[in-house]
Amino acid sequence: MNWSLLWAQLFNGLTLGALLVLVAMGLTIIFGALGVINFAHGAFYMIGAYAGYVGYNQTHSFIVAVTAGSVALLLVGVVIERGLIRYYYRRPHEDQILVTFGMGIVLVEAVRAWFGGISQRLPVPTWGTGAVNLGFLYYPTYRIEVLGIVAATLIVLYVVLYRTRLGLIVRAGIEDQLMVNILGINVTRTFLVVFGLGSMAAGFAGVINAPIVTVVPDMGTLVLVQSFVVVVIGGVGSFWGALVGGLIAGEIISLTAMVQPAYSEVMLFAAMALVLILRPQGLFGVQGR
Amino acid sequence: MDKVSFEVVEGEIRALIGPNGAGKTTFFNMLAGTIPPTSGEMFFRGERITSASSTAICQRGLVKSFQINQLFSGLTVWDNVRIPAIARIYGKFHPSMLRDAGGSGELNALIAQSLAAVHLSERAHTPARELAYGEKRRLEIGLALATKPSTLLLDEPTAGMSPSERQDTIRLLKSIAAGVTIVIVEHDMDVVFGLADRITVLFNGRKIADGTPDAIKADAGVRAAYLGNPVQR
Amino acid sequence: MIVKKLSARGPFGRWLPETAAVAALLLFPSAFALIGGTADMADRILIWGIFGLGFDILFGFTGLLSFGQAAFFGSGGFMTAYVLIAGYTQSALVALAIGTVFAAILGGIIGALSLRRSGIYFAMLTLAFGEMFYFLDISPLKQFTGGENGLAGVPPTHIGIGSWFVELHTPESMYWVIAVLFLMGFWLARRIVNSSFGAVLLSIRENEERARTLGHDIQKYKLTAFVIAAAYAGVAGSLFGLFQGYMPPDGFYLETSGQLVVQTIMGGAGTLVGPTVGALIWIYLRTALQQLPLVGPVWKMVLGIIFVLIVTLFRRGICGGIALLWRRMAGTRMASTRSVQVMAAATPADSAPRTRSSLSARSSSKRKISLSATVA
Repeated sequence: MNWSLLWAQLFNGLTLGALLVLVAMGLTIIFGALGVINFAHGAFYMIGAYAGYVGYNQTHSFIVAVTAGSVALLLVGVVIERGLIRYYYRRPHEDQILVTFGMGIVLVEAVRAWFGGISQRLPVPTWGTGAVNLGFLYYPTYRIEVLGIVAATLIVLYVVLYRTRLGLIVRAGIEDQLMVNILGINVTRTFLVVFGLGSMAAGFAGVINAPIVTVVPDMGTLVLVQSFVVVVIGGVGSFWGALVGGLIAGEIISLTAMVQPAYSEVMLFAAMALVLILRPQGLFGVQGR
Repeated sequence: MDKVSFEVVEGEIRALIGPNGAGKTTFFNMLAGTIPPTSGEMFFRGERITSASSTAICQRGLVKSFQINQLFSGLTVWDNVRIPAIARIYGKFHPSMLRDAGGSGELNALIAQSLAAVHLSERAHTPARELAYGEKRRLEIGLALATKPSTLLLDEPTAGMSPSERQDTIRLLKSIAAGVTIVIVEHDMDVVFGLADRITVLFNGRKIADGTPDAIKADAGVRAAYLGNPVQR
Repeated sequence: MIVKKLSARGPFGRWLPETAAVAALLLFPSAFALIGGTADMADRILIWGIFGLGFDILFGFTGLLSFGQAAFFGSGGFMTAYVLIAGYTQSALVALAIGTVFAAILGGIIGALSLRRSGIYFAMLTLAFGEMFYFLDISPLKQFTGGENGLAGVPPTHIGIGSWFVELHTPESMYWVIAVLFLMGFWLARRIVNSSFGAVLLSIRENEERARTLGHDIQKYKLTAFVIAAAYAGVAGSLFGLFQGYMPPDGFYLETSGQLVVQTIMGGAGTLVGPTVGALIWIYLRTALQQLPLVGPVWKMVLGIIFVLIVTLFRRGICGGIALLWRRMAGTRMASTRSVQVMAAATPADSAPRTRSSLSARSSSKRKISLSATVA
């Protein structure tokens, strides 16, 4: 038994999982509160990476890059929600899917047109280079830091969701959208904030993950699909569902890669199929949603 | 709901009344298989239907019409009624895709009959979404009729209707009542007293009275439940 | 008493669409060449058209939006290509049949899983399963599918029995085979949507819950529609491999599933020929736009913007809009004559009005209970 390989893969699973948790969190909150599934979420993730890349090139500061990635998506999210999505709240779900899907295509192609198709690099920040000796394993410093960053972000998100008034409204909206409307809460502003924050989560994930992967216009497609799987496994609109689902997903991919690399991606879908058969609403989902 | 016991004789017209929030629609939904009861049993013509699906219950002859119109808005009136008629004649799954583009004689007869029963024959080729509200309500009943039910559950069929439309509906219901058991939830007491053989009264999820219209009119408990004035127009 | 139900599809008769299709298919090559189209493009358009016939039944008529149809397109295509390359049969049609059946079976499995949820989840699940097939194709099943390289060496399309056969080597000759299959697929699809089965599919699209409570087992209907769409996808994928002499992994790309959706919306969902029109637009514009100086590299973005505009403003698509106009023009003229026929045919319902006395007379004797409940 190759313990160091196992530990390495477990940690890789955590890193990948952490990323998926962030992306899925944004997706599931938007979906839960607004009822809109954002098929452009992968494109948002990709734009975050590119915005970070641009920010880094201008300033050589990783902090600026991360800020650029997040703020860019906050803006994109707000513009798209006000300019497009809000006309679709009353339209059938299929139309919402179609328009966000189309939006995704346009965004990816726009980035491809501007930056070209060759991969870009966002280097690991200076405080993230090298490896850390964990005792049982040498592991890249930056990946540990990513775990830390994501954990901190999730704590902040948890506090916002469960300890603030805005979070209460969002959770109430996930529970019962109609009721929130009737109670006269400013739904417009809430929707805007939720969509903006959810998009920002995707962009943030995109930029902090950029040093680990290649930055190309199509980088968001696989992430989109995997975040869908996470939402299905974890259950819609659930904080814990996104968290647990994302980590499970990351570990499934990573551990399978150790045993049978050819099946590493496929195994995730097999797990999704299993959840569908045994517990269709997802691990933390509510039946009937 | 709190331990409601309910029995309807075949051929009867039973009205189910009670103030708002009494649980009438919930009870209907239980009977029609839309939601499961927390406890208890339900029987239709001797057969247990407590955990049966709404599809199965409908196929057995118990069908519900809705308080808020649930039509196939993009289809014509004819095509609307065709849907339950297909289920009636061919059963719950009929994958025959290669025959009957024009519809069989039996199917078309059932559709025409159902349309005539609710006086919508002239509007057969109008899209459902273009119908007037009263016509939509009639189509709603027509859909249920086309399943050729032995028992019909009507959830506030006159909701939103003008007084003259109400009278028309009473006449309509009387005309379809031959051979069909009807349970009707209603707020309008003219409709109730004009139609029902027996009345059951629900209040706060419990049954508080059950009897002939005269008995109900005289019942003090019922009057109290309605706070003195049951008539709503 | 006979009810003459006029065909709801048009005032001229039941065979107009098929006749028009034959005429269009015959004229298409020459007409298309006039605007710079090639036989290669024409073949692709029709292949996408076949793909879209099945998809339209699933999405346009039943209302189920699937983003994973590439799974069946690819599966059918690879099975057909494999069977021919490995030499299990020489006949293209036999191989096509095998590929189609294979795709349909997979459709049954994936459909059964995906339809455990509905609406948005269904769309997400089909997307995910579609991607699963892509990954299966690229890696674990590489030895059968050629992985990233695809399966090359699909022999020229061989149609015939024994010593009477033709072998097709050019896109021009392939056109006629594809066109015949398109016509068959079109005829079949029309029968499906015009039958009682098709009527129930429409009811599922319009108001699924009501269809259920009116006595239909809608899960079975949905699954059947899904399998039909998978079968059509299998045919299209098989033809794709045959036509190219090569079956690429593109067949499984998410982009393939997405292109199908975009084409169907642009051309008009619920019209059967909408996807073909959409394919015509997409494939033609793709070539045309790429030749324009400024637009060239961003042709896909332009098409994406057009798609978003159509979804927002012109949801019915091109054929859908035409169909609507046609119905509006023909509608008022026909309504009066049709209604007379319906009325003449209807038997009056038993109109003896109920009176209370008849019931009280009955209720004293044997009582048959219709409905009894003791619930909480």
